[in-house]
Amino acid sequence: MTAALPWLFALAAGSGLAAALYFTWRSLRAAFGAHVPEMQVAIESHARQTLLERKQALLASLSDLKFERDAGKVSAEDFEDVSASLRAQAKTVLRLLDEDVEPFRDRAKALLAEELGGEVDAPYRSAAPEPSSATSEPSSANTADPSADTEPSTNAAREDS
Amino acid sequence: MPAIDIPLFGNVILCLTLIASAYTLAMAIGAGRGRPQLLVSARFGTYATCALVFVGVCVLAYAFQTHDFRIRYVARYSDRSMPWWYLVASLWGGQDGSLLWWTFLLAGYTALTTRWMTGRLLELQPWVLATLMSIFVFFVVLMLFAANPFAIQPGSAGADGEGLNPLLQNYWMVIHPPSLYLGFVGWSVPFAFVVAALISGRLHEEWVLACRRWALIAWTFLSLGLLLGCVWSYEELGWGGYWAWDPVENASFMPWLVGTAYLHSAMIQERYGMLKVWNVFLMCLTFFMTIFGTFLTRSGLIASVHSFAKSDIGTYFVYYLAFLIVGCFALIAWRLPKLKATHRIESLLSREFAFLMNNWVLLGMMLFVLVATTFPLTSEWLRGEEVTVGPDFYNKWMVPFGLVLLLLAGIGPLISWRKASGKNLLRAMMVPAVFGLAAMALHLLFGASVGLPPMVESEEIYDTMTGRVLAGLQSVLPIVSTTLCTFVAICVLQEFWRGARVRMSRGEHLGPALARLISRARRRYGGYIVHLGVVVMYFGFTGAAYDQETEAALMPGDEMRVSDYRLRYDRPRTTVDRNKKMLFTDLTLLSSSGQTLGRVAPAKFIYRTHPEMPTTEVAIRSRAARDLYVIMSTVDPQSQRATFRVIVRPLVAWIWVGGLLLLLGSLIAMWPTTKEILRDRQRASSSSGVSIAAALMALSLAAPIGVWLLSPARASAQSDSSSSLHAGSVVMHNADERKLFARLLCQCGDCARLPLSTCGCGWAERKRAEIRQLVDAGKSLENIQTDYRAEFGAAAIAIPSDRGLDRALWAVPVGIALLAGGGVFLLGRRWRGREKPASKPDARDTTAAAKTTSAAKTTDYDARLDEELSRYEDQP
Repeated sequence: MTAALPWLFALAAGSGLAAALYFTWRSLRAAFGAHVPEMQVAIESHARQTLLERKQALLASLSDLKFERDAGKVSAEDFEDVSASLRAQAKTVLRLLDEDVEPFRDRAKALLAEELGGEVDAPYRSAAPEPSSATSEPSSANTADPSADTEPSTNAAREDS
Repeated sequence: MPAIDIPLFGNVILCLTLIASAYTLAMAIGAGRGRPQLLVSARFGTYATCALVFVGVCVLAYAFQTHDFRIRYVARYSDRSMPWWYLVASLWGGQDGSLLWWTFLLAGYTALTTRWMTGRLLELQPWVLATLMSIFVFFVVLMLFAANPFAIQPGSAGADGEGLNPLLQNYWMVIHPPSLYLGFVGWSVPFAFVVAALISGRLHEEWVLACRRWALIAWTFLSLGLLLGCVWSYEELGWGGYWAWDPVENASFMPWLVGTAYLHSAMIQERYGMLKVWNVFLMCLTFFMTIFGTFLTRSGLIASVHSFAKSDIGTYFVYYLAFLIVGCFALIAWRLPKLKATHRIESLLSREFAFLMNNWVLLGMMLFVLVATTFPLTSEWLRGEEVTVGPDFYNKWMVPFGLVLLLLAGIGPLISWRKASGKNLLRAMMVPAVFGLAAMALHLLFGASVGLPPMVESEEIYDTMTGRVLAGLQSVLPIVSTTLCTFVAICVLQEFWRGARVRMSRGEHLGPALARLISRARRRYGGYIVHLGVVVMYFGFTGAAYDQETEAALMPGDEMRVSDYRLRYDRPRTTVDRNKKMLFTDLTLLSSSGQTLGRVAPAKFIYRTHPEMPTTEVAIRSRAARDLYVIMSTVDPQSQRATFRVIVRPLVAWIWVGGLLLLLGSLIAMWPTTKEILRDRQRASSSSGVSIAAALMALSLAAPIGVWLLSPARASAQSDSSSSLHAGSVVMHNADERKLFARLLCQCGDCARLPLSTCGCGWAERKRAEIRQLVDAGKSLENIQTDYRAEFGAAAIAIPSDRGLDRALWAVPVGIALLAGGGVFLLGRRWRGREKPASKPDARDTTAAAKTTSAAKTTDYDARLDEELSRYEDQP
């Protein structure tokens, strides 16, 4: 162990130096004009990412509030008051998330139709309640936002790789 | 690598680190000022900087392992006889190396934070990186120009080094400083977030959420470092205590207090958008205190038993601290309009206000410790007279603060957010109050019979009314503490029960209900476990009131008694390893009926490189009810006569158990949920930052626990450890001697802050003999103290007087704390008065929400939201 340790530290130092050189080269390339497509993707998906995180935070707050009411720590009046405010914000976020995927909807629909022969329109519409369609297709119980759990920023996260 | 000139290579690496960090700082500022493509460059630059620091640490570690004594730092802090683990620990054993170690830990945090920020917080990210890089620049400049760990020795390299100070050669040295540094350095990350929020103007809850877990990580490491410091002090320093209010200890305690205040008040901003200015201020103050603490430790301005040598790096710190003050205040003033709260406190009987009170107490404690720690300097500047503030002063004054804080830890969780009714609160407090009163009654009735009387005698630190009041408080501390600890513990347990009952009403059994309760609301219940840990620790602290101490000189075969133990001195024995000579004294521990309970072997170690500094090794037998703490003061190898000091310390083990509970609670509070881990995995493992940090933390928590559990020598001196700091080898003949010597400090020049009652150096021994002659001649204790002060100055007395400017020591912090308390109360009333009843309580400062709330109301997303909520609640 004692004899191997200096060499281990030497090896670690060498690896660190190699890593430092690699990152410096990548940094200089990015600084002096190399195209960084990942950055563009990151910027584009950032707004959606923020909304998704906001949605999670609001769901956590609502769940927490419900628990506090059940535990008798918040009065019914306060619960209604706070819950109404949180729900209004959560619904706003859901709507903004829907609007965010709207430009891709037609393209996705076309691709699906191409694959499935035009049978995707009805179920897809029910999955994304819009002001116009919400009334015609109320209580879409199984309608989860298809994008809600599909993180669009996967590519963005590859910025460093 | 051997062909390379290691000192030169190390210096080149430091220069490259400075260039890389300055370049990254420039790129990050460019990215923040509207050129987002530079962010990628800044991110890679950050990684490059961190890698270079890593190389620097590896080079220094290599130099230690190969005994490259050309390097001054290596020659000064190692020698050829040291085992490899102490050679690794030498990295942070001295000033220069510990600065490199500090920068290395900062590099670790920075790399993890950068990884974690991949694809998120794009507006904050450039400024976060810029802030972190500016900290790098400061520390690398410090190393290059004032404390270079690769500096070469003048003249030719010696054949061997001076060796690490024997006081530092024990396993706690390997564990304690890294964990403390991790706590100190960790606050850089949340500080970077707050600076980024201030510069970018994004001051709603985003930054609070972003740095929530990072703040918890820093806080937990700081708590771990403090706890390990207590264990080290208790097991190794040989004076029988775990906290001496030394300036270096205080330097770690102050950021912990402010950080704790921040963790509480941040919750209010997250929930109600209040206290924005306050949170920003607290975070800046926490970081400031970490740098200030480092300055205190390293500048050598204040005498401390474990500060580094005096150096000129203090000047650099002063400039940096001034820069921090000016910078932070300028940023806060600039962003003040954006820091306005969106809501006000509705009632003084609310959890928000309880948190404010908690902040007030914590900040009051911090202020008190700060004033007392810096009082020697202040006194010297103001009146040219240096004074010393000893541990008795803190112990007496911190009691009231501690009790109020403990009470708040119990009441806080019971109060509802926004507005609690007095009736509901009283109902919630009923059961804990009954238990508390029952505990009080039991203590009053049976305490004395089990050796834990409800009230104890306490000495006055001043001969004034203030001294009498403080002594009075101290004397009733046991009974008050028992009552409050029980009350608070039941308050916390009641919260678990209330939560579990809700889940049980949905058909779950108690066990799974409790498990899911904690798993679903980790931060809340993790926090409650932390509160429980604090209660248990506080109960342990109370045990100090019941210490029993006996000293005796024994020949082999002789016995001594302490409490209901008997100790038989069997024999001395000597063992030698390549590093030191170890002189043990074997004792058999017997019960009062003569039954053998075990063996203990306190010792003296004499190190090869420091024969002039023999260290005292205590032997501890630890049990839940009490510890037996045995110190061997002297032993004569010829006659085999030995003198022993034995202390029975009740409830000490509770402190360590409480500490573990506290750490467990904070680990639960920060641990990511399955959903978070899965979501982050989808983000190409970008969460690995926090996950790795949490995993590292679990590992670092497990390491000391493992050491503690596996240590085979719990009841004997550690054969591979050391240290007494000249303490633990003093024999007192009576209570008057103890009282007098505790007030007089050793003036030999090396034993800073050590009272004559514990200092074992030759000067102290001679002085004690002189003073004993004076006492025998009939001189009063007061006159002896007055003469001692006249001869050596006010700094030679452990506690300043309660007269003149000395009184400012307690009057200033108490006055400010009272004023601040009044201010908090008036502010709360004013806020409450302004609150409009119809206002919405939790409308967060979300721009998008503000713009489109009305639109959302018209849209029927309710069913969708219920679905999402149901899915959220069903997930593991």
